[in-house]
Amino acid sequence: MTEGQQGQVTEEDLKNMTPEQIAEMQKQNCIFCHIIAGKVASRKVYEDDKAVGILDINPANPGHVVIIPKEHYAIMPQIPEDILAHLFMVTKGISQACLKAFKAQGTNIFVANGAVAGQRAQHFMIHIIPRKENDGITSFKLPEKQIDEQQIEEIRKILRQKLNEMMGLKEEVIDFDKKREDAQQEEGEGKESEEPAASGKSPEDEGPEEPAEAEGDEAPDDIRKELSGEGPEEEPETEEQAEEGSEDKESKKDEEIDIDIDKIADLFK
Amino acid sequence: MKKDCHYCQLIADKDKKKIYEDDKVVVIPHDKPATEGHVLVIPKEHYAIIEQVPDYIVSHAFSIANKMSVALFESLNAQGTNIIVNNGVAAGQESAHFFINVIARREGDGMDFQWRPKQLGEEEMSTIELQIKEQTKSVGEFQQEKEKPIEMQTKTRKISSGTEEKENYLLKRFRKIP
Repeated sequence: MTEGQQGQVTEEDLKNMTPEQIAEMQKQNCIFCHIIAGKVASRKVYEDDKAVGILDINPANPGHVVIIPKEHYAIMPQIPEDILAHLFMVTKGISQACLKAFKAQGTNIFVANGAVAGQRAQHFMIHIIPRKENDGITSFKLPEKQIDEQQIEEIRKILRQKLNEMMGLKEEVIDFDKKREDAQQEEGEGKESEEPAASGKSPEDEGPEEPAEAEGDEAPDDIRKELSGEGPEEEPETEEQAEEGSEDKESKKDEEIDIDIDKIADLFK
Repeated sequence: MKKDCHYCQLIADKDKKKIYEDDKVVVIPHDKPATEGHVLVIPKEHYAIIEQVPDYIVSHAFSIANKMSVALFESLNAQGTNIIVNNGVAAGQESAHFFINVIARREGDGMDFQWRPKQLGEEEMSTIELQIKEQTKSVGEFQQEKEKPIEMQTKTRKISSGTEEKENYLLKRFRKIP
């Protein structure tokens, strides 16, 4: 790729490049990397091993600082957890420094990820803008859109699912509710493929509080199997359903229990 | 928890449907969103402004905000995200509970957070630089979370009497079959 082409890389091109290629190209073209390296003059107000704070040359207000990571990252999702944590702790410190230094009455902390969000440079940065009453800045007043509750709820469900997925993979936070649900799901899945393992699991899970019921739950199952004289083909299905019932007894969600009870009840009609 | 704080009440409200919750923060959708996909990352503890929030909660809250940002990109087809903190009344903060806005952005959503740059002279910039440098000297020592004593989790399982009756009823039916 020639120098001339590099200057006109579109979003589309970026998507087609490997992360390594993008990183390399961006580092070469990145003014902020040059600033960090000291090749371009700037007014540094903070520096440590991971981050640099400089005065923005086009400030929204006097004292407008940008915090940039020393390593080149285009957007926030690319930044490793520890560096991100560090950057925002520095941000808090600089925000406090702004309050003291300029007797500011507040600060705006602003991050734009992606050109659509107003990001102009290909280097991730956090803006800290000291604010005073009636300073004439209205950029950060958030508009309020009319979106009906149902849609918000839908968005919430999508995001919750996604986040659980993300957190589940990393296992950073132990969400007991979720773990229980997951365990039940796994149990449910395991049962379909290998029944003995699952059935061995459920009495164990029942705990000592109600051994009688745990046994009782299985005993009728066996009895029913013997007595009802159902064909062998139907057996796995009904057994599965019955076990779902015992499993749901653990669950605190009454709704679910009701639904499964209905299912079991239907089996006998 | 502060009783007259809207967000403290939201956090305590068990019926309020959350996107995410752990021991330090909760994430909820904004009731009056700026776009489809506007969520708030709120520390559970009541802090008015970021300066009051312990460093380890700041870093945790922004790390969750980052995850929300990724989720917006991947699940709601956002083309960009903004992370905005309005810190202090002068900065447009309306409620006395610190939180982080994470906003999904899409082409043509009609929003623009760009500011009009102020023209400042070289001398003025130099003064500002010195003023703030003086104050940033103390930045860099960050609070770590104190290690909590390990709590032994005792497993208890509550079973509501209503379901138990139903189970028993079914079990009876099972037993009556012979």
